[in-house]
This record gives sequence, C-alpha cells and structure tokens, in this order.
Amino acid sequence: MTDITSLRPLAAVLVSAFAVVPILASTGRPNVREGWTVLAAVCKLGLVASMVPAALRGDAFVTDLGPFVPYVEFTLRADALGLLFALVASLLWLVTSFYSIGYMRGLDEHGQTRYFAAFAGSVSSAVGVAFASNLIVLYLFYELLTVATYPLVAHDETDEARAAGRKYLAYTFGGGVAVLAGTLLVVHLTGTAAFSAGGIAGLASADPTLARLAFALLVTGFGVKAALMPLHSWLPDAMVAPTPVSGLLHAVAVVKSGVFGVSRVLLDVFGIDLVAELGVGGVLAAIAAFTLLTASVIALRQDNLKRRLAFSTVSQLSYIVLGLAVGGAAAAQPGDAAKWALIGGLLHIPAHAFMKLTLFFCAGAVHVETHTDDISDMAGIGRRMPLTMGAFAVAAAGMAGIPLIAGFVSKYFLLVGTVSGGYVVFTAALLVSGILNIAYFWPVVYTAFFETPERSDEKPLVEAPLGGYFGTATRADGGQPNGGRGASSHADGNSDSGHDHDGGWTRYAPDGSESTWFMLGPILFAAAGSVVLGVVPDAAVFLRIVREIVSAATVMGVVL
Amino acid sequence: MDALVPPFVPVLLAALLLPFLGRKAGHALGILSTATVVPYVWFVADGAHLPVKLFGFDAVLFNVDPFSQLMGVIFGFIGAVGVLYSYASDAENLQTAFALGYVGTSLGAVFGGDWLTLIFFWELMAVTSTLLVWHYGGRAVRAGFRYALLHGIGGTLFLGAVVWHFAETGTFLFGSVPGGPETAGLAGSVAPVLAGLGVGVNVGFIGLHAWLPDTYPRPHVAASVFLCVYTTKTGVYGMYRVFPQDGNVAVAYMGGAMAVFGAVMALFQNDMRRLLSYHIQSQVGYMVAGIGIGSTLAQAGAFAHVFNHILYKGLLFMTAGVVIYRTGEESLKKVGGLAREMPITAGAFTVAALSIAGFPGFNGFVSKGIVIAASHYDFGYGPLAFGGRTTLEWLLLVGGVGTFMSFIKFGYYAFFHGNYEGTVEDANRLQAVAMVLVAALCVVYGLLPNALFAVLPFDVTSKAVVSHAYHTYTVSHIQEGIILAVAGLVGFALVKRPLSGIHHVPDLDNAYNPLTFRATRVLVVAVTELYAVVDRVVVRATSATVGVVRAPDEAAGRLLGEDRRSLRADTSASILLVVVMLAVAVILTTIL
Repeated sequence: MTDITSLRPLAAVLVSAFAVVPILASTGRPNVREGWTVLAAVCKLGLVASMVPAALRGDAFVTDLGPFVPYVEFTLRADALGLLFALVASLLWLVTSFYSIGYMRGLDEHGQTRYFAAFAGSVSSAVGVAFASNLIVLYLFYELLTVATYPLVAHDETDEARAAGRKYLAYTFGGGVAVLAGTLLVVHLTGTAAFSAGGIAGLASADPTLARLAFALLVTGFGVKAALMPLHSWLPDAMVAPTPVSGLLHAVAVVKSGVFGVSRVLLDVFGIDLVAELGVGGVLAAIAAFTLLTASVIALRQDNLKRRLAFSTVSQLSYIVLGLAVGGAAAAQPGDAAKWALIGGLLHIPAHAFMKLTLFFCAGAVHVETHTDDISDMAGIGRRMPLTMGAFAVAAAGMAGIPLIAGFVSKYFLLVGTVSGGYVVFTAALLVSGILNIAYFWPVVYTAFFETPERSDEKPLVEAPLGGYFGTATRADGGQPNGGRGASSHADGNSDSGHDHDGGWTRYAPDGSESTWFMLGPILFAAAGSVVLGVVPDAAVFLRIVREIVSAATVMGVVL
Repeated sequence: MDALVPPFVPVLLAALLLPFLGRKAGHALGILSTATVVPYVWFVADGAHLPVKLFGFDAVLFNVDPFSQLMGVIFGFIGAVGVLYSYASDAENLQTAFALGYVGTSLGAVFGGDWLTLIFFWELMAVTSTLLVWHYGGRAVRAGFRYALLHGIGGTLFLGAVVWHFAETGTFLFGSVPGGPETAGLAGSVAPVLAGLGVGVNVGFIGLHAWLPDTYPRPHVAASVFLCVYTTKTGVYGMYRVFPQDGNVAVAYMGGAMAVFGAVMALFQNDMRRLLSYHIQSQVGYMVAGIGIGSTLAQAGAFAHVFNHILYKGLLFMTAGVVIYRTGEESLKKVGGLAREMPITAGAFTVAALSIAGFPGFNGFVSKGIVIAASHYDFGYGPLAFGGRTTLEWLLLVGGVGTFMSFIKFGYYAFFHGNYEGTVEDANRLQAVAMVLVAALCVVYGLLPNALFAVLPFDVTSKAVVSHAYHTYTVSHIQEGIILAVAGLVGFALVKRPLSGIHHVPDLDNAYNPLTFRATRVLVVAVTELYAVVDRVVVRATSATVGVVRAPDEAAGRLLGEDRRSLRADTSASILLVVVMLAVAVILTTIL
C-alpha cells in the first residue's frame, strides 16, 4: 500500500474541464467541437486506465494540492474504489460521446455547444468525486456535478424540462446539505475527514449516537442521487433530458456518484466493522430492499420506455446499496458473507452501467429513427431496428439476471452474500425482483420482435385485459378454433401473418442500415461489454478491481 | 484431460450460424452438429471432466458419468431428428436456430458437473425455449410470456437452492466430481425444498404444471417436437441430482399422482397437442416416482423411461404435427378417418401409442415395468395398499389405464372414426424418414430390452446391483400389460359417450391466471397512486415554501385575507422582537 505522488489524478479530473473552453469556442464548427470532446474523452480514459495496474497492486496515485479548509487537505487519490468508478465513467463517456453526436445531430437539437460543454464538465466532476480523498473534496465535486448537469436536464427549455430541473436541484442540493452536515459531524468527532481503508480510526471510539447520526446524514445525502426511496422522485422526472444524458448521467455518472458516496462512507469513513457494530447496515439494507421491490412494481405500470427504464434504475441502484449494506451488516460474522455481498454490490456498478447504458441508447435510437417513445407503440419495431432491439433484449435479460450477461454475475454474488450472512429476507427480495424484471422487460422484447401493430397486447400489461389481444376474443384453451391458422400457414410459413407481416414498419436487415453507426456502434459496444462482464468478468478488469477493493476493506485479508 | 470440448459447443455454434445459411445447408449443419453428439459422448471415457473457473468458483463444464451420458446420447439423437423434421415441416432457419440454442443449453445443463453450471444453462434453457415459442407469433406470444414468468419463478427457486447449498458447503461441485463434497445432492434443510419446487416447475408437479398444456400446443408443429423433449427431461435429470440417494417419499407420491392426474386430464382434451402435453406430465410422473423411490432399480427405471419417453413422445408430436401440417386442424373433433389417407402417419402413431401405453413388445413396456417393479419391491406400502401391491404401484397402474384410454381416444377420433372429406396427403418423404426411424427404435428397444439396459446407469438384471433382478418378459408382466390394455379399451367404451359431451375442463391456470393478474394490478395501482399523492404533496409544499421565502408579504396577506401585508418592522417593534427572542433563549437554556 504505497502512495505515488503524481499529477495524473488531477490531470484525469481536469482534462475534460479544460475541454469545455475549446468546445465553447468552436460553436458553429460542430465537427471541430466534437473533435475536442472525443479528444478529451480519449485522454481521460487513457489517464484513468494508466492508473489501474498500480491500483491492482494495492498502490495509489496521489495529487496533493495542500490545505483546502481547516482540517482538510485538497488531495486527489486514485485508489481501487475510486478507479472503479472513474474507469466506468470515463470509458462510457467516450462511448456516449459518439452516441451523442449521432443523437443530437439526428434530432437536429438546439444548444448543442452548451450540451457538449456541460457534458464535459459533468464528467470532470464525476471523476473528481471518484478521486476525492476526503469527505470535503467529495462534497465539493458532488455539488459541482449537480450544477454541471442542470443545463442538461433542462436542455429542452420547455416548462416540463424546467420543472424537472428545479426538482432535480431541490432534491440533490438538499442531499448536499445533509452530506455537508454529516461531514462536519465526522470532522467534529474525529478531527479528520480523510478516507482511510477500514474506516477512520477515531470514529470507533466516538459517541455511538452521534456516529449513527453522522452515518444517517451522509447516507441520506448520498441516497438522494442513489435514488433510495423516498428520495428518488427526481430521477423519473429527469428523463425529460436528451437520452444520452439519461444514459450516461442518470444511469451511470450522477446516480453512481450517490452510490459511490455510500460505498465511501461504508468502507472508508466508518469501515464495515464499525457499521456492523453500530447496527446501521441492516437498516440501510432494509431501505434498499424496499426500494428495489417497490421501484420494480412501479415500473410495471410505465408505458413510456424511458420512465420504465428510470424506475428500473432506481431498483437496480438499490442492488448495489443492498450489497454494500449487507457487507456492512455481516462484517461481524465469521465466514465470507461480507466479502461476497461487497463483491456483488460493487461489481453491480459496472454491470448495471453497461446494461442500462445499452437500454437507454436503444430507447434513444428508437426515438431518433421513429419518434416512438411508448412501449404500446412499439409492436413489431424489431423489424425496423433489429440490431438496436436485439441489443435491448440482451441488456434486458441481464437486468433480470439471466446468465451470460453481467447482471447474473453480480446478482449471484449478492445472493451468496445474503444467504451466507443469514439475511434471508434480502435474498427473497433479490429473487422476487428478478421475476419482476422479467415481468416488465419481456413484454418490451416480445412486442418488438414477435407482435405486429394489428395483433398485439395492450401495454402496459397490468392495465390491459387479461390474456392480452386474444384474451378478449376467445378462451385460450383446447379445442378452440385457432384464429385463421389454417393448413396453408403450416405448409407455407411465409404466408402466416405472425411471421413476415411487416405490420406498419419497414423491414431493415440487421446490417446497420437501420440507423447511423454513431449510435449503433456505442449500442453494440455497451451490449458487448455487458456480455463480456457476464461471461469472463475476471478478464474484464472490473472484477479484479472489485476484489482488490474488497480485500482491502475486509479485515479477513483472504486473498481472493 | 485437456482439449475436451463440451458437447454444447458444436450445437450452439450451429445455432449461431444457422440464420446466415441457406435452409438446406443450415439444417444439414444442425443435423450434423446434434448427431455427432451421440457417438462423441458415448465414446468419451466415463469420468472425463473439464474443470474451469466460473467467476472465480470451481466449475465443471463437461462431466461424464452414466447419467449424463444417457441424457447426452438421447438428446443428441432426438435433436438431429427434430432438425430433420423441422426442415421437412417448413420451419424457418431462425426458428431452428432457437431450437438448436435450446438443445445446446440443455446439453450444457446435463453435462455440467456442478450446480453453478447447471443453473447457468438451466436459465438459458428457459430463455431459448421461450424464444422458440415466441417465434411463431400470434397466440404463442402471450402463452410464451406466461411460460417465461413461471419458468422464471422455477429458475429463481432453483437458483436460491443452489445458493443455500453453497452457503452450507462452500462449493458448487457435485459430490460425484473429483474435489466435490462428501455427500451428493443438496446440503442443508432449505436447499432441497427450494430445489424440489423449482425443478418441480420443469417436471410439471401438480399445481405447477399448467404451463405444459398452455404452451406446448401453440407454437409451430416442429417447435413442439423440441419442447416436448428437453425442458421436462432436463427437469427429471435435475431432480435426480437433487435427490441422488434414497430419493424422497413426497416426490415419489407426487410422481404417482402426476401419472394419474395427467392421464385423466388428457382424456378430456380434444386439442391434439394439448392432449399430448398432459401425457408429458403423466409420463414424467413415472420418472419422478422412480427418482423419488431412489433405489438403484428405480433410478435405472426412471432414466430408462426418460430414454424411451423421448423417443415415443417425440414421435407422437411428430405424427400430430403431420396431421396439423396437412389438415390445418388442431382439434380431434375436426379430423377423423385419416388412417386411409395417411397410412404412414397412422402406423407411426400406432407404434408410439402402444409404446407410451406400455403394451408388451414396445419400449414403454420395458421401462415403465422397471419403475412399477421398483414401486413394488423398493417402496413402502403406503395408506392405500391392497392386493399385495403398494399405494404407489396402484397409482402407476391406474395411470397406465388412463394412458391406454386417452390414446385409444386419440387414435379412434383421428384415424379411424368416420371418413375424412376430401383427400389429404400423407407425411412428406423427410417427415416419414424421421418418424419411421424413431418408430423403429421404439420397437427395437421393446423387443430387445438388453439394448436398452446397456445404456442404463445400473445393470437392472444383476442381483448384485439392484434389489430385485428385472426380467422384462415374464408371464405376469405380459399379463399385466394386456390387462391394462383391456381395461383401457373397456374404460374408453364406457366413457366415450359422456366424454363427447364435455368440451372444456378448467385447469388450475383458469383460477390462478386471473387471480395473479388482478392482484398484481391492484398492487401496482395502489403503489403508484400512493407515490403520486406523496409526490404531489411534496411538490406543493416545496412551491409554497418557495413562495413564502420569495414574497413573504404576499404569503402573510393570503393568510390574513388581504392582498398583501407589509412585514416591515419599525424601531420599537424590532426592539420588542429582539427582547422576546432573548427571553426565549434564556428560558430555554435554563430549562435545558
């Protein structure tokens, strides 16, 4: 565990912030402007990635900028946990940058310069959150992130967008206040706010009630962006933003800064042993379990695809929080329960990022190409956009925890962790949530590929008659006449209306002609990423980083 | 033990390539990839295994023991026949690709040497089979969704069981695999229950079975041939892994009950494939009973029945498929007298029907006989034993009578009763090849039971291995078979008239589908409306607060019913305010 003094963490944070200037200066020359974005994204990814090998050895790059406020140094430190978040954010920013080009130009959006500038600023803040070495610096970047993303949420400049923006600010700044209060309390109790592996030493000897209060304040504050219920309602409203924003920020960078804050608090401020001792892990886990179930139930009723995805995000973020919280609650137990739960929770950060980014990208591509936003209008759309909806199906399966895709692996670790720790209720919540995911994602998949506009169930299914399209006509049992499926349909599959009817959509071959490669490339990359994470998570560097974090955080010191 | 290729690899590769090939080339590749599995798994050494690390856990992707070997041989064979039949029945390449995906993942499941690999492929099997159903469109879509949900629940329960087992033992490996735990099966008290229920969905436990008749009649006729084989039989195999030793009494009785329930329900059906679907439940009941009894004789019988059942049930769905393919009718009431029009199909059907009913000389007779013998010699008497036979034995025998009755019904109405108006062609050449090939095997394994015994995990003819050496063709066995057949004939003659008046017999899903649906709707609406109310209140309160801060005088005015009220304080009022505040502060500090 050595700290290597280097400017790399600072450079990684600032490179996209500096890019804001040339981006703003290149208004009117879109190709140059986007060139700056891509250049900054490549540099940022390169800088972040260059620090990963050291983190895997347990070392960390540190930039120390001297005293910031009393008690607090302005220090950026790229440890394994920070790099996990920074790597996800910077890799996916690069991908999203290409996608943004396709999306914004495809819709001929206004204010593109402001959009790309704010985007660069947001990612800077997100990486700042990742590399902050103490609560104060973390707080600073956490609030900067809110500010930088506001123009993106309110991008449309409609009343609805402005209202969503105001709500967004009210919730997240409110959360910021709680974070600040909690931070000050921690400083008051221990005289420091600096993160330390295994927790700040002084906190263990502090007054338990005040320590619990500090925990509650910090987790509530970060819980706003982590969309823990009942603090989640800004997130579905923020879906009014352009889809790349919903994708990168409201499924990856912003929401995960909340989750990341929670993990810092649990692992590096309190330490999982103290969390177990204070008995706060179980409470947090209960809130997370409640959130992940309730959000899934609400998702069942959403017809707007982006809103359904937003509630899915609310639900999936709580998988991460649940893993962290159970890791905290189980720390006192013998065995590896805490280890499994933490691995599951932390691995779900990249896993969910890849899958949910795919889903949002698909929703955005469908919007650009066909201006379809509601699931009930999507019957047969798989014929029009085969690659897009194929990627959607893959990522949706991952959300439900189907094997081969990232979601299975992290869910598996979470299940092992909760069962080994004896938290059967949380195991049940995770299992039920998997079924609910099937219930709200499969209809999107089957309507896209296997239904036609003339013959399709009403969506959302819970609002429609039982049995769907055919349920209203005849009973679906033996000996019934079978709706025009005559001999000819069997002898000649091509005449069957269930098969080749184009049903209002022009059929496109799955060769990329359905959209631009600016959008399809990112979609396929993100989908492929979620499959790689699901099949060989060790080869993808993320699981190795996660194991490194967990072995540093658990006192067992077992080499995983 | 390096360079072993798990058998699912060629099949899944073929599945991936199929959409990009021509119909002929694609299906030829499909047949080749599945057919090679048969000799490959047969000749690979027993005990061969391929250890890997899956997510950092020890796993075994290719585990060869007598059980997985038997499953691999028959899965590969019927897969090849199914692809041939698909080609002959005008299936699209994409559908056959889904089917091969389903075959490949099933092979992955049965050759897994650990629970992690098993559940991994188990869940993928649920997905690929759902796609196979969905591909047909129309009614199949919603049925496929119900299927996916139920199998999602089943897979989830099984996954839970596996995780519990891991928490108990610290390993996922099977007991029989090198490095595995001491005892086979699932450890602890929770895991076997969860697994029993989860696998119970796949094998069609009564109560968890309604997906079978709901789903299997709806997709393409060739898709049904695949569906009727893999899900339930992988389920039986999974059930064996869960209860590898000494079985489980409750599972055994569930098997007996399934045998009766499925056969009785089948009797009421007129949709051909729906009737056959109930018979899957009934026949799987014999296998489940065998696993539940748990002796070597019973397990050998169960797996022998798996092997035979795949042959004759695949054949039955092929013959029903040809009838539907040629006539376009799904219901027995719409067809009749087809024996004259379609002699090959009628012949193949007769062989399959006699096999499933367990008539002497056909393969079902052999394997069903082993299970019944095990229920006689290796199982407790139970509550309803009489006539020197155990309760379970009676259940299995009654199920046999029911089977005879419903297949007499099927054959009578489809092929012999009345005359078919107009002309119908018989099966096309390749369909006929597929059917005759399988029909021949049904007869071969019936007449030469030793050929069947050679593939079984235990030698059922050796007194050293099983409790009671089994001899197929004894006088009492043949007598039993013929009595069952006669009872079936008499029974059908008795119920034929009342039966024709029955049109629809509700199953459990007629109750739980609307119930689940309505309950979900109530829950969803309640939750969303509650959240909407909370959100509205919060938003209103926030905007009210903002209003107060922004324009306090207007807010005060609203409170007092005036336009606006000046909140400006003059000097004396200010002093008064300060004094009051100070007084309050002093009082508070003294109290505290």
